[in-house]
Amino acid sequence: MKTLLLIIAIAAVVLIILARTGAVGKKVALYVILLMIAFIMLLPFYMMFVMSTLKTNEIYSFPPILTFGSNLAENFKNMTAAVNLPRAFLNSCIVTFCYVILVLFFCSIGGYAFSVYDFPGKNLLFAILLGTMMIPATASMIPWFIMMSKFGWINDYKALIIPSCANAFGIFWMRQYCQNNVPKALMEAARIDGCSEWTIFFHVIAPILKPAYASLGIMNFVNQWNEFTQALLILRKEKYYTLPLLLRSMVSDRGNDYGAIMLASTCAVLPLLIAFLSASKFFMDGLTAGAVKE
Amino acid sequence: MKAVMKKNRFLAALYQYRVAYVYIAPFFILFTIFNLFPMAYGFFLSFFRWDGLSAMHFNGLNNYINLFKDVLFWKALRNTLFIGIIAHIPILLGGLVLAYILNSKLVKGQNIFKTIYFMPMVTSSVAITIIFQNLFGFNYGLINWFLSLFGEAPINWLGGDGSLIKVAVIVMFAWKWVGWNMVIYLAGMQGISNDIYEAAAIDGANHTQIVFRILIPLLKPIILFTLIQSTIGMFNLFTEPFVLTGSSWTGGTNNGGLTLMIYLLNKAPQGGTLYGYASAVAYVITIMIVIISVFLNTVMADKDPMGGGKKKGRRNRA
Amino acid sequence: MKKRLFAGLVLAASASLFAGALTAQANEDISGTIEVGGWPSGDDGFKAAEAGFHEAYPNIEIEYVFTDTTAHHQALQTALAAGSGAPDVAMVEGAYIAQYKNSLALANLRDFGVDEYKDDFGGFKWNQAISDDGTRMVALPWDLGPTLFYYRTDVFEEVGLPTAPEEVDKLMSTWDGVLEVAEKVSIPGQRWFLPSAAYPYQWMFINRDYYDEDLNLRLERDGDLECLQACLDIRNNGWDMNVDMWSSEAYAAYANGSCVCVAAGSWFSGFLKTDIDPDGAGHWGATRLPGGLPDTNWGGSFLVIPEQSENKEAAWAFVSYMLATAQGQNDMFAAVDYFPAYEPAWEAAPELYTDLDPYFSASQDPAPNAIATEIAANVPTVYNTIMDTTAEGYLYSSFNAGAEAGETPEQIRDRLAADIEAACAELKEQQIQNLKDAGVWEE
Repeated sequence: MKTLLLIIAIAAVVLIILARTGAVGKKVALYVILLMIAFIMLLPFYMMFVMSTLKTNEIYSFPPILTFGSNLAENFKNMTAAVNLPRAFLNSCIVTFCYVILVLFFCSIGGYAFSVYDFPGKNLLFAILLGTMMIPATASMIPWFIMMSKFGWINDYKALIIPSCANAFGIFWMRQYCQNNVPKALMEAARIDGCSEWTIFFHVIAPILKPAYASLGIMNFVNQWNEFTQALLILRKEKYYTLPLLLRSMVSDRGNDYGAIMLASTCAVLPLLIAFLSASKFFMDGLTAGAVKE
Repeated sequence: MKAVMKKNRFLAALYQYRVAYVYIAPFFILFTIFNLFPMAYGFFLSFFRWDGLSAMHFNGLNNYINLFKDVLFWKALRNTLFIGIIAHIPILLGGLVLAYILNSKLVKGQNIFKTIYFMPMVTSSVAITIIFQNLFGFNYGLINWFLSLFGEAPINWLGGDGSLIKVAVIVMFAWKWVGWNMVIYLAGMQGISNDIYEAAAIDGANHTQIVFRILIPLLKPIILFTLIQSTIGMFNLFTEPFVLTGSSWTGGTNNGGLTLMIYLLNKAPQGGTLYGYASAVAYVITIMIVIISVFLNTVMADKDPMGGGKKKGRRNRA
Repeated sequence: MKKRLFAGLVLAASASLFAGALTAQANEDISGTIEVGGWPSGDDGFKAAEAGFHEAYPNIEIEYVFTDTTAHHQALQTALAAGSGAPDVAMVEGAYIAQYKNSLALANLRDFGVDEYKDDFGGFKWNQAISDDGTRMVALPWDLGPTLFYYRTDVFEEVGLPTAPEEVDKLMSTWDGVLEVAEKVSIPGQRWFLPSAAYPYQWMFINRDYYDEDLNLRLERDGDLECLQACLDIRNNGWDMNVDMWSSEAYAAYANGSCVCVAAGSWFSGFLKTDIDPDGAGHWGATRLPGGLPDTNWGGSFLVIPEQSENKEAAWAFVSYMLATAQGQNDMFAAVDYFPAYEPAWEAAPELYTDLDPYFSASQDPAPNAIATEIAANVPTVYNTIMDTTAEGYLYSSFNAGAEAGETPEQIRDRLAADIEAACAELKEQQIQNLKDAGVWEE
């Protein structure tokens, strides 16, 4: 352990000295740190890509293989034989997009109402809303499932979409954004023009909320895209499986075709990653769009 | 007479703000149907002994009493707090520092960095699980291979006496969540004018001072928010320790990776069928989360920590 | 209406009775689509036997809902508790059967005439599925897990050890013999005797008979301390990988020869052939458990029909065809190596059991399945409880903890007892409640 700790210590000291040498040194040190963190963040992804081109016994060999292998075609063949990935991709898209659209709608009107109207009971209701965020979902899993089955929502995407639309986090997020970005004067002007409250929201407010829609949309998209626990209980047929369920169904106690699993995971995540990376400016501007401040 | 008038005024106010109620109604309706009812049912269940398959038996407070008597519960609580608190140092502090750096125009390519740091949130858990098992593997693991380059003996991260499981869990958990918190802080920082930093810099403040004296106080509500979110996340910590210990309900050797959520789900519905007992555990966890949240709220007390009160002066006509 | 249903059931039962013998006679009266749930590779087994089933019941369609074992049981459990959402036929792993056997959420197979088959199934599996009050039977046994000790013949040969099953059995019949083999095959840091040294101790309990009928934990048994001492020797000499036998690391090591031995139910042959080491024909051997341990059973699953199923008739047709006909069982056996609990299957196609298995080493005579057949006949009936799986989990982790702390065999046994008692306290209460409900518990 000693040599290793020594190397780490030396590296740290070098960075600190570098940072003290002035503006350029500081910048270099900063880049080194940021790149190291980026490396740690990316390493599992890199390994996933590498493993999707390896045979299972190559994945578990020592020393580990860290370069791309030649088994991609074989893994692809096994993967397509085992699962219907495009179908699950489509299912995931249906669930996620429906959910995100509904959440954005409910949260924006809710957050807007909490932000601009001073109705009786507002503070109490808002406190309740925040309180609901503290209850772990697992506490009510069984009763929730009983309810879903009574509604006949087994194998029905409604069960994954509608109950989780009650999204306190989203309302909180939207309210914060409205508080900072909705000019009261604009509303007043619209009212004087004779617009109804409904029209004001859709024609005047909603366009202002675009960045908040983007950020909340991305966050909810990510959460729903990866949702597993509820989907496991609800979706009982393979043709309805979403991606997380499909990937999980490839894992068995019998030993796994890790190459194919990794390839399927890569295929599942790659579209998102490409979208994220190629539109990183758009996404990040959306994600960080001044939604929360005081 | 006065009461009637008061009542009328209240009703008039309700009517006046009917639009607001319509706007917030979906949340409360959905919440009542899909969350409140199940929660109430869970509370009811927590007083029964029920295996989900045979008859229910009223059990009084025994579920709660037995829970507090269970050494494993206390072990799980200790582990959860330990892992949660240690992991949240990089998650919260690291997230804040990264957000500050990437917000400050000190470096180029901020969006690329931001995207990379946020990427772990986008992945499916199956592959990541397998990869982290592989990273921390005893005989074939990447980390042990790396150590072997320096002549180190392999470390049994996920086995041994169980104490190192926590390290692996913390790494995996922090890896996943640091980007999320960074994004939330970044969002908060958008609202802070750059002039403040510049003014501070002119006054000779260094970055540490800016972060601690200016940024953190200004971000207080958002920090409080992430703290509460993290508290919830900490108590819900399940997947990482569970998969890293090979899906073992013991949480590994000496229960080293046993968290409260593993403890809960082991009772029901995943590991076992003690629905009443599991409901009691769930309620105890909920109460702990509420207590911590209230505590955080008071410690960081603002006039109105959630930022609601400051606009009180203005009233909107509806 | 009820009468007609009953007539239908009788018809179904009798039809399935003869389905094995008279496959030509198809039953077209039962129709519909049934959902069958389980975990891989049960689905491969069913698919292998599906042709025969469709011949017997041309109007029943099957849909499969398969996921991993844990997820399957969770989903099944939740659906049963909720009263809907369960498949029409579900697999249940042997480890879980104790928690289902009293369940009113599962159909009583006696209503379908399951008792007809009583003599065709081994006693210990059959009894596991009968409720505590003795009135109901909710599950039909699918397969047994006669426990075999698997070893790499190529490594044994390399280090000059015998490879024929009987010789290996003889050589390893004492713990000294086991340690001798362990030492010879192991190269510290490169090649290991076992995935974990905890397993020989676990083999003593692998039929999951942790508790007696008065629900006393009974860990003390003949030779347990000698066994534990051998386990400690293996660990302390670095002869085990010190990883879970089901971990991906261990799987990789079985395939590349760096983990030389492992024991499991005979279903493990199927794991090796199709998943763990598909390219490994010729270098595996299998024999009885070492260390003089008695013949035992490891796992094996059941099929159940949830009470909520709307087509129990078709579900029973499926269950009885798959599990209680020689053709159904043997088709599945040939495909996935699930050793039939239905004993007439053994004689119906003796070649499946006695023919040498080309996957195994040339010295493997008798075939693993022939050894398994002998073991299956010796497995005693045991008493199972809902605490068994939790106890099993602790066996592994408490041994590791004890070994890490440098404890003696007695100390490890005491530690294990304390850990199990603590973790199972609440389950035990529930078990007592179940027995009280069944009217078979006296304070």
